[in-house]
Amino acid sequence: MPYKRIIIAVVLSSIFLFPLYMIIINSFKFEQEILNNPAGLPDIITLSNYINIFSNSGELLTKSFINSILFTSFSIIIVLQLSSMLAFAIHFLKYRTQNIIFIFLLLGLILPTPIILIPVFTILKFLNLNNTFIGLLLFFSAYYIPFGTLVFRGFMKNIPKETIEASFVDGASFLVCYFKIVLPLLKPAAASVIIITGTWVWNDFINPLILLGPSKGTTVTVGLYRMVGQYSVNFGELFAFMVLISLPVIIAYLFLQKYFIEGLMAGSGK
Amino acid sequence: MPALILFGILIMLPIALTLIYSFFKISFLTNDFHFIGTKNFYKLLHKKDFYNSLQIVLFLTFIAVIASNIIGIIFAKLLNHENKIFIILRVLIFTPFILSPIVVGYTFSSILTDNGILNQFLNYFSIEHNISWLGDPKYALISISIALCWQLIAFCTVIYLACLKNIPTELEDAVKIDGASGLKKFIYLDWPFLAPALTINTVVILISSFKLYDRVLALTGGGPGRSTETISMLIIRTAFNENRVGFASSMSLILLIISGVTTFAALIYLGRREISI
Repeated sequence: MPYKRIIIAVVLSSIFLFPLYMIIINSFKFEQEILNNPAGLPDIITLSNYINIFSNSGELLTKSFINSILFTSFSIIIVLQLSSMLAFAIHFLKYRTQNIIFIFLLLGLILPTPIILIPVFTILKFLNLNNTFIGLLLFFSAYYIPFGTLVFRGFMKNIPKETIEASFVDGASFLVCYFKIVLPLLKPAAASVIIITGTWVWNDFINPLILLGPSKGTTVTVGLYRMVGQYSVNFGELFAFMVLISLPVIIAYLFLQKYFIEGLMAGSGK
Repeated sequence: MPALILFGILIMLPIALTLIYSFFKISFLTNDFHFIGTKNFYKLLHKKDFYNSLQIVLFLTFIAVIASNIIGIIFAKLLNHENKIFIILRVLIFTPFILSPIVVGYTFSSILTDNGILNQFLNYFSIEHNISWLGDPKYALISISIALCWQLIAFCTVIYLACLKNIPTELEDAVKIDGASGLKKFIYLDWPFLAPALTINTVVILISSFKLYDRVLALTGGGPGRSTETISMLIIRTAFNENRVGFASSMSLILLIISGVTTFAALIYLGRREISI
């Protein structure tokens, strides 16, 4: 047992993860105790912060959660479907056309969103979709298609060309080949796209803030921002809110962590 | 292809529109469009806020690239061991990256505010003068870079770890037999294998630094004064609060060029380096 190494690793990791520990532990403390003893374990574990959020800003919280769940699940479905089909279709194109599409997708992948928010806002306005659920959903889907496509392509490279060609020889159509042969082989890629796109959409802040409009819509992140702005929140309630909105992604990560990292590698490695 | 249509309308078309808008004077309120040529860019040359934000973003990007990569490698080397404790730590170390940046912003703001945990901790060791980590322009930028790096270190560590796993055990054993020292082993054995990770990490760091918005909003709101206002914040403020849409688009265009050139340059340079090693 490399004891020295274990001790160093544990100490450094604890310092690194201290902010995380602090939010969780302080969300179960009374306000006075947070101020007096922010780093220690609570004397009495209290759920009062969580109860207070529900009674003070319960409507904001539930609305935020419902919206975020809807955005996340619909974006995942659209991105999965569209990007896997695009990755499959690209497979059959000439090498040069493939490369051109990929350069554009790469540009979309590295694009900082604040740059295009102004024209996206005007386009959605033109389509009468500004400040609507569908408008933001479409933007999310478009924004994550490049990532999804690159992940699917990364995994699709591992499917032998003969498998696909054989199915065509057997008389399968393009769509039959896609649904019956390719899609089942892409399950790990799909898991990666689900967990990563899901996390990003769930966590996104600036796009919903601008595209849903300043006063109307909300997601969990915008809800957090609104709560801090509108109500006089104390530390305990702030921490409790942050724990609640982070819990879904943390649980999803713990269950699907293998796919999370594989997907990030496949999406960023060409 | 539905995917390409959606991508074209909501991602590629906006890039083109940014270019066009930057030659116009536009107001969202009145829906006015006036062609004013290159006036926006001319004004931009004399806009102090823009240079200020540009400096801030470049500074933060520089710090983030250096610090996150170095600390990421150290963490990865430390945790690359098959023992149960290390496996648990490897899972936990990634969690900062999956939190929302705005959550991270509020977390660090509660640690760094004037009566926050850090100052209490410093008081405990009777370091008397309270430092205003977020209120003093000198420290505010450092505070933001800490919040930024916290998430990026988590990401870098995990990617480096994934690459360290690719080193064949035979090679590692051979190096051990040759009796190479720690540093030599790292330079000749680990470093070449870490090249792809360096590419991925640097590109991801560049992307997240250039679009930096939420963490700063939660930490300082751009203040004190404008001392921590990033370009993204300046663009959003100019377009949606001051309603100078064309002017904001010209800033977007400059940011697009800077971030695009930097990221692609890093991608190409580091990608070539991977092959040559």
